[in-house]
Amino acid sequence: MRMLKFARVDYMKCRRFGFILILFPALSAIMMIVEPDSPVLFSITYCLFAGIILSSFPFNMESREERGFVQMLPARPGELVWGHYAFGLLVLLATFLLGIASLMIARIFVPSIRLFSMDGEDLRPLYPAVLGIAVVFVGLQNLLFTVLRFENAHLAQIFRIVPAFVFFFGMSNGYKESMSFPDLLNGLPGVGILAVCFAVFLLLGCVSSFISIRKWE
Amino acid sequence: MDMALLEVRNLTKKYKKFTLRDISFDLPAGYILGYIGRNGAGKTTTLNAVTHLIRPDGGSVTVDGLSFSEDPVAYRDSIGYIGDSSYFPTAMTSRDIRTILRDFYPSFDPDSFDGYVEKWELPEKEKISSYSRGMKVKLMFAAALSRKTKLLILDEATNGLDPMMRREILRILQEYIADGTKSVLFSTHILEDLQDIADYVFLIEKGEMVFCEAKDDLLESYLLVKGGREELTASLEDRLIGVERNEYGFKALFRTDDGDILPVGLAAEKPTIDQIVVHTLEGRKS
Repeated sequence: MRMLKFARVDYMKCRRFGFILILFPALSAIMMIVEPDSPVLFSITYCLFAGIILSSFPFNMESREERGFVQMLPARPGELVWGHYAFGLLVLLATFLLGIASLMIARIFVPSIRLFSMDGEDLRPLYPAVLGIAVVFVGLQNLLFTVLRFENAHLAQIFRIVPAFVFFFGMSNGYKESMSFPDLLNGLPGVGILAVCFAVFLLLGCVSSFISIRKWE
Repeated sequence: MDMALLEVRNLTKKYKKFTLRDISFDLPAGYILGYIGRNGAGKTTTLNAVTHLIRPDGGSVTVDGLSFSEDPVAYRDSIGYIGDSSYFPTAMTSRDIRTILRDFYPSFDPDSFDGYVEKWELPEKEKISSYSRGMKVKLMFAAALSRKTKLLILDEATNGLDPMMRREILRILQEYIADGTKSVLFSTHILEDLQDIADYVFLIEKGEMVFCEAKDDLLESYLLVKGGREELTASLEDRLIGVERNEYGFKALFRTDDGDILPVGLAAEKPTIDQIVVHTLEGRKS
């Protein structure tokens, strides 16, 4: 699968920022230890916030000079873009799993932390739902980078950070307002939401791939 | 020319401020073609169209009979590309490059790559950003030569290199084509390099072909004529190419292969490719 090979190329390009994958879960674990009553999903959202930012790094690091190597790699048109999507998805999964792992570590120090319930609400369906929403954000962000191809580094920086902040504050706000977010999704199966979000992600990938082929000067 | 390994037919690419028009040429196996022209003449656009880094608006390109649309993977695998600046992601090491080449190129030979890295003393664990210009060029060559390519494309690859490194590259290119099955398309500003190794010369100006000839034929086709100011009559000037006047007289090219005979008394000598190019382009301006 050349898509995964391209994702590996992205990983090699962004490896030096890999510490972010560890840093944010570690910080969220510390936050939970310090404030055990804060919503556990807030910690997960915090980790996914970092994942959304990190997943767009390959676009920012794609300089014109690299064209002779990365874009010359033998592949079918569009596979490079699918590689970016695969990288984004893998980064998000990694931050999600590391986020859960960090909560479990925090629970060793503070046993009162409840991972799957809050004020009597079952939080289990929300984990995949939050991941799904983050996946859609990554898909949209990648589409934006494919369409606009930011030559201006500052503009690219803004578009890398803004979607992550919209996700973070949007979700965090939901947790704060007397669990309005769980109400919103009440009754919907979390895995179902994740599946729908993943389908949207694939659709966005198809659109990005199509656009990249069309835009191929 | 013999049967072409690289066949370019009526290649066209339109941009807002520049158009590459109807570029056609053949490059047989076992030869080097020097692709020359001023900055912005269309050299890189042509090479990018050959490598399919850009999509041509018209025309066709085949490498050993294969077009990009027929099999993009095999097409790219058959081409080695060396750019004017290092095209490797600077955060990577030569080990990373080796991994990527192994992942993507069916014909990549890791032992051959390791051999070049060792021979050229390229640090394996250091980031490419810390490499010198010469080391980056060597790494590009290692990446291209460790695969079974049929066509090597160099886009201003010798720019900014010291004479020793340039000489080594020219030697590598000659070794590359030695078995007669591979070819080199070599775009450069340094025409002295072409004088040494090119078999064919293609001159491009404002996106259009000026000439494409065998180097030896080209050198045989012209004389560089020099004379005093009083010798430059109107009828003579019409027969000369790219007349360059100075305080004492003039210098120009004279085409010898169309049956014209040079007037007696004028000094003439064999021109270099550099002189042919300069006077030809000068002649097109006037």
